[in-house]
Amino acid sequence: MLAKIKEVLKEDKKCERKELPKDIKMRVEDFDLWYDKNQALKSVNLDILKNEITAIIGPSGCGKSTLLRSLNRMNDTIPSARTEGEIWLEGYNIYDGNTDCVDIRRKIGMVFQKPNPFPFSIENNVFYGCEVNDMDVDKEETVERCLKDAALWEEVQDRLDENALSLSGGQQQRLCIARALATEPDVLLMDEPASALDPIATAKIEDLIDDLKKNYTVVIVTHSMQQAARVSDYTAYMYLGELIEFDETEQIFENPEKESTEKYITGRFG
Amino acid sequence: MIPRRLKERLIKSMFFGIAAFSILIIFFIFVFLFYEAYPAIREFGSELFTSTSWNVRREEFGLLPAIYGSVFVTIGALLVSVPLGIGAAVYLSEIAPNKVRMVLKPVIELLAGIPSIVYGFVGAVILGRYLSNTFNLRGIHSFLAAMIILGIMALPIIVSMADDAMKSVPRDLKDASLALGATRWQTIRRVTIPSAISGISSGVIMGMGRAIGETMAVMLIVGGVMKLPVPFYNAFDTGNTLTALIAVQMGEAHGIIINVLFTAGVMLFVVVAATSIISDILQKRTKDRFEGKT
Repeated sequence: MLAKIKEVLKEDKKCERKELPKDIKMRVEDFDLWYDKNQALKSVNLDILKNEITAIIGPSGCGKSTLLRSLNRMNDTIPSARTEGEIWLEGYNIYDGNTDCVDIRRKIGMVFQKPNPFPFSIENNVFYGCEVNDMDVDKEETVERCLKDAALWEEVQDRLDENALSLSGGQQQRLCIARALATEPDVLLMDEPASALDPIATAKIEDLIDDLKKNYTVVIVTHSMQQAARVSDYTAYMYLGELIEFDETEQIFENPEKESTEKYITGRFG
Repeated sequence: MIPRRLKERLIKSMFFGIAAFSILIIFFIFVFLFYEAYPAIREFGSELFTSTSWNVRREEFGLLPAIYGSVFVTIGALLVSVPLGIGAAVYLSEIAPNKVRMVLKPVIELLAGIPSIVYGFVGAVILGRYLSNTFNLRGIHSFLAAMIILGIMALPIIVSMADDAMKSVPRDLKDASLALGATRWQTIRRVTIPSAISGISSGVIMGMGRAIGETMAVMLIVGGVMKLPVPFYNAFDTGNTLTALIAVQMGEAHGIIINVLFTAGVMLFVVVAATSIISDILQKRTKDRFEGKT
């Protein structure tokens, strides 16, 4: 009896695996998503390359944020969402029934459209992820490393115990990036991270994204084509829930294959 | 036909008048309470609040047992209603599927619509009798029964206000927590509840006001005996509260005793007004907290 239970428990831990090419961090395979009866993603296929910045662009409502939120299973928090297909992270299917969402989200960090720091002190904001995941790391060190990585250290080092809500919008967003870096994720998802910020703060965030590429794989959703052109190495263009075109950013912006892509990037619709 | 501008101004001053009238009424109640209470305070001084002996014939009016009783049942009621109320609010706002929430919330709020005399009746006849049989008490009256009933009576307001407070925590914050690998429970405990704490406390304090000011139910259950419980923490003992004292004595009161009862009324008024003001301030704090950020 006990042996059988052990066997079941062991089996449960097993999660669907397959080998991916070395340079691919995440692979989206025939992925569909419905909100009730509305299909928001239609059979999307996409490879996200390691240590590169992938931008997802497209007109409002094309499913780009939905796709991003699917990459760390944040759509699970929406009761009406239903999915089919697979998303692989380094050979593991994150949509396998046995996968632990909580674990996935630690490995795949996320930065939201609106800066959303917790109403705690700056250092507790950064350290939150480590705390909830019981990570055995030094608090001071982690806070300093992450704030430095997020190019915020200089501005806040003397007031780490102040409430995070006292920071400016741009600082808050960099704090959110620092917070996402603290759990040492492999991938960083960013959902229009600069859309609520002024041009100077936006420039800072864009520089930062470029720096992050050394250590992380970044996926960024943006409605600004200039931003996609400036920061990304690869660009995916989506329209009405379908992935229309995916290629190197230069290729997409200079020589798009599909007519729809061309129309969008030249500003003729969207 | 009145010109439009004049009409607008007339309506404005009419509403101002109505608002001013209600404030005026409160003001007059306040003044009247003090006016009526003053003779007793002048006559007996601090003895009113420190003496434990109450004897109408000998003109001994020690309110301490009733003051203590009010505090005692209120603390007990909060011990019942705070864990239950916050637990229910967490379930309603964070865990329950929408369909369950749509049924449960009105049902809990319905608890507030039950007349207090019915609570008192149920408390005395069913709960009081049950406690009496279980713990071998002398009668059906006890502080414990009053605490439980008051706790239940304070529930709807605590649940409702705590639920609103947690619902008003921006979704973004909860998402941020989940996206960092926190579980749902960690998110509730470390983000939702701390962020909503002002609103939750505000609900608890409102519930406390309800428990202090409740009369009919307590009167039927607590026993109406002017004495301190022995020992002082003995919830199985009987006693009295300020509200029940006023309700029972008022009918046949004359002379100075009326002034004594008004003193009890002043105390209740001040405490309940304070709870309501504190609750308001706390609620405003929750609002400021989230509206300050972009």
